[in-house]
Amino acid sequence: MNIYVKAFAITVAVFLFGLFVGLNIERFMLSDLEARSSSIESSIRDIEIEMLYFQGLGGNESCTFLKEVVRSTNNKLDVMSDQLSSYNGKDIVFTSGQVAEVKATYTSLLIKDWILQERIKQQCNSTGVSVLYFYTTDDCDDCVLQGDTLMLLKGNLKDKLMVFPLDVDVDSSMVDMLMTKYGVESEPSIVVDGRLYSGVVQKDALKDIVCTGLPGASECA
Amino acid sequence: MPYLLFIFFVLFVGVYMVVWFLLAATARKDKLHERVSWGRRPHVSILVPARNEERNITRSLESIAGLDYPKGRLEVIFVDNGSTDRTVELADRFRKALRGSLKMKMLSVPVPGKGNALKDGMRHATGEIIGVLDADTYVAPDCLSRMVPYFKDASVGAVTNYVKPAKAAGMMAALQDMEYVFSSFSKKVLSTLDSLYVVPGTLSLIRKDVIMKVGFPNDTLTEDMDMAICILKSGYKIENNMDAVAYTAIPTSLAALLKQRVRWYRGFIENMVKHSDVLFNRKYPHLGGFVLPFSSFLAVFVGVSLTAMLLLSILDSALLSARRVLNVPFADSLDLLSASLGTVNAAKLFASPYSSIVYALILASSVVAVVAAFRLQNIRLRDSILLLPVYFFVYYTMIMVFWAVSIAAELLNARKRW
Repeated sequence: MNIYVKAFAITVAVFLFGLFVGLNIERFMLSDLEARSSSIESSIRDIEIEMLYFQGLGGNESCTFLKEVVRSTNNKLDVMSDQLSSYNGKDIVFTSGQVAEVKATYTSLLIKDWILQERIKQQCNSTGVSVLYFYTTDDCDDCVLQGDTLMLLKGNLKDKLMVFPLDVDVDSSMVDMLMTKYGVESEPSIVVDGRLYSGVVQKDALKDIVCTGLPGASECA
Repeated sequence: MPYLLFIFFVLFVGVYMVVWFLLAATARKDKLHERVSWGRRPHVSILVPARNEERNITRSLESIAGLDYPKGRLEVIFVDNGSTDRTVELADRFRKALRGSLKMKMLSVPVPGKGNALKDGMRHATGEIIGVLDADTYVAPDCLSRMVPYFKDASVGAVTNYVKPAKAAGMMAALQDMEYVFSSFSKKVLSTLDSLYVVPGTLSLIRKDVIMKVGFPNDTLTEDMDMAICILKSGYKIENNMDAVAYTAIPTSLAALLKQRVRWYRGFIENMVKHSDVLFNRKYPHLGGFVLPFSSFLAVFVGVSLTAMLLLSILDSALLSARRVLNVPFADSLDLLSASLGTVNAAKLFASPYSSIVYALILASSVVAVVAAFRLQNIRLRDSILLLPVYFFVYYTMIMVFWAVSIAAELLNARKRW
């Protein structure tokens, strides 16, 4: 057989092999993300049930339990956020629709977690600052910088600071609503204690802003 | 999605080229180490054009004297092309030392231009077969006797040999050694497909009748390619023997390499333009149908788009990295680093699955091609195995950049020199 045709056939075979490997990697990644999402979903259900109990029947020991569940849920959310931000949408062939769905579900869970945390803070009189962080993966170098700064501060303040990264490109009506409510028009933007800060907030300024919500914290001295 | 299509396309082209090459190389394994014999020993005239080659000329000439071809059927025609150093003096000294054991003529063509030098040499050549040996190249003793027999076939117009770099030290030399193993081998493969398009001045032999017909073209930067295509166009074949070895001087500095390659690649482009009638011409099924169009396409593609992409992405990530470093003070950046390392997960490994797969496949196929080239020539790869990564990641990238420079220079019509 003609070597040109033979070469074409072999190349197509290599190509298909590559796609096959890619498909399997995609499937693996997707099932990993879906598993994490389910795990977070059940954690949040736990929080909701506990809060119902607390409001109706419980006492002070609920707060300790709630704080613990919240902490572990936040960890899971952090890890999944990391996963999602690395797994870039532009390089997915077969499962992009499903990944988008997982991203949307994750965003809803994140917002739910934020709402529950705010309520718990009120009811348990606990300290802690929540930061809503609006970003995009579409050509936003500033977002990378803001991400670095937030991660740094979180390393310092640990559980006293909770960051909720919200990808504005995800199809979520909740995100759109929050953006309208706080007047978010550009990325990166952060909302701390109901106040909007647009553009990159430098490390020291950010620390000051967060620390006003943490009076008496040792890290804020 | 357009980004993905682009990299899939690159993958396809890259792998296709390698697969085609492997199929072509293994199709005529019988020819790779062939030994052709012939009862006749025709007269051979070796033209040695030289300009300011005092360092190499003696070695070249002595290698001709060392050939195992009957001296009575050999003559050397030295053509000085405007040398201002001791080249002529050394050539003359060599001639005197011959004491008539080998016929040698000394000519002078003051106006610089290899074509002119060769034309003048031709007028004094009495041999049936003409060889061209650049002064920076020397040959193995059996080189000529392995090449001449191919002329037994009347349709053979030229015969080329296997070029190796002359022994030199340093990383540049080692990388070029590896490069030549592959490129010299591919010349043989091309010759089995009537697609060898270069007759380099490393003692390539050309039938005198053919030169009379075709002349020594002088209007491109790489007259060896021009000549070859002209020979093919006039209906003759070009053969290659891998056991006939010639050693050529190679550039040892980056600047010299750049200069050499820009000349080669610009010459390639010029010849493609000059001989564009070969492209997709049924008369030259392999050369015109695949080899030349594919090489040109690859050169432009690799030279321009990939280099541009590489540079842009380097620039882009350099800018961002600089900003990130400025944003986070050094003392804190270590904390940041450990925080991000703490969350090593699958996503970081498979962040861009297809980019990684494509990259891996292209790399794998290139390695396969190089390994095959070594194996088919019975050369040990084990010694150079550590060099392979440097070759693929550093040297290849450099060559890509050289292509980009050449294309730019050609488009901007920069000044040309021999």
